[in-house]
Amino acid sequence: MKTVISYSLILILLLSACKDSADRPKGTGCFILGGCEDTDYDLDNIYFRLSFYIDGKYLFYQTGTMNKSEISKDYIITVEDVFTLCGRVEYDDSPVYASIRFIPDPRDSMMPSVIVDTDERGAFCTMLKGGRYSILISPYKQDTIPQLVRDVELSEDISDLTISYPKDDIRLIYGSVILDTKSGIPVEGINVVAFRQISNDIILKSNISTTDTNGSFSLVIPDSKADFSLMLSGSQMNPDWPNITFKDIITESVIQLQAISLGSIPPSRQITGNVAMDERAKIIATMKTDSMSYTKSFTTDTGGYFETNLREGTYDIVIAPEDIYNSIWSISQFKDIKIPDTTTYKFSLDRKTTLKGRIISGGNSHTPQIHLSRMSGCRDAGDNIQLDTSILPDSDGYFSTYLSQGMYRIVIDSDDPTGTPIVSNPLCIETDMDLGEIQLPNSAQLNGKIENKLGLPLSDIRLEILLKQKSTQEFVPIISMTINKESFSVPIPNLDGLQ
Amino acid sequence: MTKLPQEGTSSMLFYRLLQNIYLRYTIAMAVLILNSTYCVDLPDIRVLEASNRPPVIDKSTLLPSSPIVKIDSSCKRDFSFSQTTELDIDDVLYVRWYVDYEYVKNYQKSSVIPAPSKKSITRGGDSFTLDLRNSILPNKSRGSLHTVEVIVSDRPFMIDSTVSPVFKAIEEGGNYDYISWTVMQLEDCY
Repeated sequence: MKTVISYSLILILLLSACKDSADRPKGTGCFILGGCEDTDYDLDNIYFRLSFYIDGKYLFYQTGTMNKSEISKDYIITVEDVFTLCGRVEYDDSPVYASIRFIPDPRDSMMPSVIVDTDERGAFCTMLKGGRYSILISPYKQDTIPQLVRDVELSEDISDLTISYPKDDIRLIYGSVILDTKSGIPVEGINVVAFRQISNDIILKSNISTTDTNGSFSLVIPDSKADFSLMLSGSQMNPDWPNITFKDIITESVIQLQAISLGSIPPSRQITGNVAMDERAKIIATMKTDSMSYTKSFTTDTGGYFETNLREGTYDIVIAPEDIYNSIWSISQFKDIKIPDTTTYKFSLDRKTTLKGRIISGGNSHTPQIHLSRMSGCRDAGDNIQLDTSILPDSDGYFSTYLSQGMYRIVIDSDDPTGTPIVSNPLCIETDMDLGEIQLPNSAQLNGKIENKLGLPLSDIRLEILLKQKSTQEFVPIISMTINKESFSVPIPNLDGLQ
Repeated sequence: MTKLPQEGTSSMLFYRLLQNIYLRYTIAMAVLILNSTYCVDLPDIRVLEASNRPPVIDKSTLLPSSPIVKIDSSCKRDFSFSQTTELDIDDVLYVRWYVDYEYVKNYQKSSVIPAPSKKSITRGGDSFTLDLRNSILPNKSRGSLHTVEVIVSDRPFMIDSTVSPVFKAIEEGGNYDYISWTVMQLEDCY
C-alpha cells in the first residue's frame, strides 16, 4: 500500500511538472522594448513577404498585409497571376547588353525590384506578377549608351517584347569643361552626365562622358523634349572634384552647351591638425551647398595627427576611430568647421557609452542574443555610419557593452524556433543606458498554406514577417523562415494579446 | 629421445616446476610483459582527442544564391546564410561581415552564433544588410563593384588589431568557413 502511494505521488509530481512547463507563460505579450503603449510601429497589422524561385531560376516576391483579427485563422497565400515576360533590347539595330529593372507601379516598398540581365543577343526573360511596371534599362556600356525607361502592362505571357532605343526621340549634346573663363584651360578627366528625376525611384541618366584632353564631352539623351540637369564629378583620373549640379540647363533647343567653367569651385588648402587619441582615426569631411557636394575621407596617423588638402568652405566633419568596434572612443561629429582657419585643427572625441541590461529567461532554456544596429548619428549631422553587432549575455542573463553614440535599433531574440524577438523603437543612445530586466515576449503562431493555383515548380520558399514603422513607412524584418511548399507554421508577434 | 635431468638435482626441480601448467603461463606472461616493456621499442600510442572541426556554412541557404548581385537605386541588399554545421557542438561561432575589405580594412558587422541549447550539429545563420549609402564605405558611383565577404570562425577573432590580416585573423587553433559575393551598383548611392 505504501509503495502504491509513493508511486502515485511521484506520478502526480511528474505530471504536474509537465503541465507547469507547458502552461508557463514564456514572457509578456508586448514585443516592443520600452512598451507597446507609445510606439511608432503599426501594431494592428502584420506584414509579410513571400519569396521563392520558379523553375529554380526566377526569383519571385509576393507581399501582403494581415490584420491582427486574421492571425488566428488559417491563412492562405495564393500564388496566381504569374506571367512570363521575354524580349530583347536594341540600340541602332544592335543588341544591348544591359541590366533591366522592373519597378511595380504603384510602388510597393516591401517589394524589391526584379533585376534581370540581357544576354549577348540583348535577350531577356523573367516571370512577374501581373500588373503595371516601369522598366529601367541600364546598359553596361554606359560611356556611350544612355539609360531608357519604358512602361509595360502585364496581364498575359509576353514572349517577344522588343525594346528599341528611339532614333528620333533622342538628343546629342556637346560641350566642354574649362578651368576658368580667364585662362580657358580645358580640364581632362571630369565625368559628365545628364539626368532627370522621373519618379521617386527612377532617375533617368544619359551616358557618362569623361572629358578628353580638350575638355570635351558628348552626351546621348534618350528624350527629345524634356529638360535635363547636368552633373559633373571627378573621375579616377582626376578624383578631387566636387559633384556639381546645373539644374535643368539642357532644354529642348540646346545642342551645344557653352564651356562650363570650374572657376567657381573653391581652391584646395592644405590643413593640419590633431585628434586627441593614441590611435588611427578616419575623418570624413563633407561640404554641401545648393549646387555642390564635396566629401573627402582621410586618416590620421597612430598619434592622431593628420595633414591633407581640403577645398575652402564650411564642413561637417565625422571622426571615427579606425578600430571602430573595439576603441574606447565614439564616432563624433563636428559641425560648421571652416577651412581654412587661422588655428590648427584640434578634435577631441567623446568616449563610448555603456549599454547594459538583463534578459530574464522565464523558464525558457534557449540562448538569448542581443542585436545592436546603429542606423545613424542621433541628430542630422551628416553621420550615416551604420554598424551592426550582436552579443550574448552571461549565464545569468546580464549583458553590458560599449557603444558609439547614435541612433540604434535593438532586437533581442533566442535560438528558440518558436519564439519571436523583442524589438526596440529607434533609440538615441547618447549616455550610459540600463535597459533593465527584459523578458522575451509570448509569441503567436501563424498557420497557413501556399495555394499554388498555376502548379508552378516552386523552390526555396521563404516567408518574412515585417513590422511597419508608421513615421518613416519603413518595414523592419523580424522573422525569416524557410517554409515548405504546402503548409507553414511560423511564429509571429502576439498582436492579439496586446492590451 | 630427450635426455631428462637426474632426480634430486636442481635441474630436475626446475624441470618439475616447468611441468606445472599454471606456473608455465605465469612465467610466459612475465616474460612477455618484461619483453614488451624493456625490449621492444613500442610506438607512442595515445588516445587522441578529436581535433577541432571547422564550421561549415550551408551553401544551399545562401541569399542571394548567386555570387554576383546587382543593387538598384534602393542602394540596399540583404545577405544571409540561415544554417551552419559545427560538429564540435559546444563551440561558439564568431561571424564577421566585410565590405570592400581591400579599401576598408575593417568589418561591418560582428555577430555570434551561440552553441545550440539543444545538442545539435546544425544551428542558425546570420544576416547582413549592405547599405551603400553608409558613409564609411567608398565608391558610391553607378557601375562600382563591391565585395561582400563573411567569415564564420569557431575561435574568436584576434583582439590585437595589428595582427595581419587585420580584423580577419583568428585565434590559434581556430577553423573557419568563408563566402563572398560580388556586388554591382546600378545607380549612384551618394
